[in-house]
Amino acid sequence: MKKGCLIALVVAIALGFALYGWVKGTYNGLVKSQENVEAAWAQVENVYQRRADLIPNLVETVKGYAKHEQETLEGVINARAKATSVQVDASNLDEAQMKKFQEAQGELTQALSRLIAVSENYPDLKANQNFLELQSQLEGTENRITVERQKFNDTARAYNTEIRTFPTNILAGIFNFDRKPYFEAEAGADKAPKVSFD
Amino acid sequence: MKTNRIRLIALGMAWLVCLVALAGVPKRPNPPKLVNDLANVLVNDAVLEDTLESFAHHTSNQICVVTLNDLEGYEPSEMAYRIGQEWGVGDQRFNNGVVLLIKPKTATSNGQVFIATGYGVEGVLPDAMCRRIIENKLIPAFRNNDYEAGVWNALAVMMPILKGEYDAEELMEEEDEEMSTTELVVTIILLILIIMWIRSKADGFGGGGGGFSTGTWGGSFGSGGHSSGWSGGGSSWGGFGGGSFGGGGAGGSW
Repeated sequence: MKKGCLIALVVAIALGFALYGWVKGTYNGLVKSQENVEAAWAQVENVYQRRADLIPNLVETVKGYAKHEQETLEGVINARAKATSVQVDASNLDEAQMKKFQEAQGELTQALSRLIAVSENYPDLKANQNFLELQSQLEGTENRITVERQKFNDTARAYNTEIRTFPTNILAGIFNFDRKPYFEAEAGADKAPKVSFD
Repeated sequence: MKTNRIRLIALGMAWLVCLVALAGVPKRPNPPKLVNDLANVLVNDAVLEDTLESFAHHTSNQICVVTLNDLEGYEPSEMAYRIGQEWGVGDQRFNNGVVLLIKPKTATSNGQVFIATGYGVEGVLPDAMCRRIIENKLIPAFRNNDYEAGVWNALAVMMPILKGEYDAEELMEEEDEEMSTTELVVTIILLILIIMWIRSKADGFGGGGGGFSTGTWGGSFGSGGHSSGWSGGGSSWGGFGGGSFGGGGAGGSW
């Protein structure tokens, strides 16, 4: 009888250790994945910020050559102001925040491509070294944005898969590890902006 | 007879699957090579390879030159980025890889070129600098169908920057004012050439001509001496290091 008690105790302790080991391993793994998602998000914000930083210079340069494009220029400035005002908390990133962020940045993308499109009408501007350099930086930044969005989606997908896979999902539920949203392909981003020649 | 036909069909399908699998980003070369002239436009790619491997060996910066006849529907920027990322050009800690992607001009399509920079070299080789290299060094030579000269000209600018000898900005302003270094390098190379020439002559008296050829040196010499300092030396560059790319760089077409 005493021996049975002892065995039960040992088994209980062993199970306790095993459970502790599993919880610890899984929880820490989840924390790490979450950190990865947040780091990927920080990179996304970085590249968007980089784009926002380019805009004042770009607008100044275009203004010198294309005075009649006041509306387009203001569109860019306003869209930039709106985009930079959208602040996202990386640790509580949810669908709604993501949507807002993406909408604001998407508007800026549209406004910028309109600006680049109208600048085609000004040969002097297109020959300006400063403008060409800004344009190549802008293109580079757009490429970086594509890459970082993709990387964020990949990281978020890995994390989302992790928290929904059994048995990790039990712990994810207990400790409130929430699903992270993805970047969706921007609506209308594949359509070239319309340029009017009147 | 019938089984033969089935076999043939199966073989054909297997081929098709292979072809589909091959489409897209070219496979990482094995053994690793920094010069991947898949479009066959570089005549002397061995010298180029030696130079780049030596450069990688000494500075840990990896410059990978890739020529492709078909971008498989990718944008040049994306193809260059994918090559960099999937091959892992550059050191994993420094992310100091550069991919120079060239799609030669053909009768039916424009030539396209893209310089993709790894995360770690975006600072020293900003997009604007890449654009300048493309506009001033690569495309003029490419227009004359001299791909090799273009690549050497570009390397002559990129290598010193990557090595950290020059600030990219400084170089953009003083591009022509570094004759003294160039002259020094040229002098050293001339000396080496003379010594080699004397040696080969000496050998020639004994055994019917040495293996020295000016052709091999011609490639690196064409760069104006900038990069020649790196040619020769160990081939132990260690292979691709797993560097990461973030979409930086610039492109152009002609």
